[in-house]
Amino acid sequence: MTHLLSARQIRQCLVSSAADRLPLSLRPLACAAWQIKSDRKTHARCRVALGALVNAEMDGKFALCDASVREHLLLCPRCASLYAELLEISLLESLGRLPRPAIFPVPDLSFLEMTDGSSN
Amino acid sequence: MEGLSAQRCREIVLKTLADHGWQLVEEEERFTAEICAEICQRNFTDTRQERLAIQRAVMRHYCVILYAACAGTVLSRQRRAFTELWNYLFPIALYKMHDSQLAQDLTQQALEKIWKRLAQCRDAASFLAWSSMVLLNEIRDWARKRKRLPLASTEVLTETELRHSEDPAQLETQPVLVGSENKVTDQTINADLHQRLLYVIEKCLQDLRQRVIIIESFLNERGYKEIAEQLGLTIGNVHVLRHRALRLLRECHVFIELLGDYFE
Repeated sequence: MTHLLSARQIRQCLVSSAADRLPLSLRPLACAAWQIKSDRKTHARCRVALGALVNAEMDGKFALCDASVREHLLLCPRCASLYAELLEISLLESLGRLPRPAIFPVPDLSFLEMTDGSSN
Repeated sequence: MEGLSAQRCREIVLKTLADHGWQLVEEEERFTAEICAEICQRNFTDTRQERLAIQRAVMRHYCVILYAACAGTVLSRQRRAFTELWNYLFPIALYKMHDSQLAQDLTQQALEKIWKRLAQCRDAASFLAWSSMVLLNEIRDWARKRKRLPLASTEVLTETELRHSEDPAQLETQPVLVGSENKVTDQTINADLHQRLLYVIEKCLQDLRQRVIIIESFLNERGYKEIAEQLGLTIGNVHVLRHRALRLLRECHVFIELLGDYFE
């Protein structure tokens, strides 16, 4: 009789080397379901690449983007949420569905004249 | 340029620039020629798709110019660039916040942050998307500090929104569920596992849209936009449905059983 592992035991397996036993095609789904995130480095790389990813998806080239970053998007709820929001905004903008105020307020650009060493 | 004349392409390029109020292009002829040369290499099924592709190309090419102007040393050009950036970002903030003054404050904060962090933008062609991300982070910070979500957050999914395009019969006719023509990119997946995964997903997820989202995201490696178009949902809805589907899978004994086979 097969003993059914508990959700907690599955989590422990997923964060250990036992995860290597899973086929590559199954691992992202399992990790996403148990919210096992990828390392911080990949997280940071994903954050930096989000804009480019949105552009790629808007241009129908999502599959060509870095696989590890795409996989991180499947695993990290925070990145996925920001990505979804960003993509939705880009789509609305491209369809002209964002509100267009009749008169735009004027920005305060005085910060441009206060260049210090930290800028750029 | 088959189907699309150089003249028509040029008109769309110039109209896109004018519609956005983008005035930083110095060599208009060259700018237009580059975009039209890029577009004519692609095949489009209809003129709408063609127009959208040109608009996207204009945005990418213009982003490079805008980024260079923002990071440049000519103050008048820099001021123009940041004003254009403001005009791009302010409607986004307005859409999210539904409050003009608040939108103005958050856009101003985002603009200053963009200025300070220009070097962190790695891909100039995605400068506007990157800038939008800075703005969205400002909005999120604001919401977090006040412990409330922005009004138009993608986290919010009403039942009315969910009912949209909820016809199961329509979804069942879509080829994605079984025998999708989309390739499974992971070569290691075998047919048995694929079939078993489809079975698990069907058993664990009652909502057909959730099944489609999980299959397309995890087996066919499709992005939110494509899935949203396929299901007639917003991207935010797809995100929330995916989140819920993952939670259901985590609690589903059929899925746990599948994983257990590898761990025991």
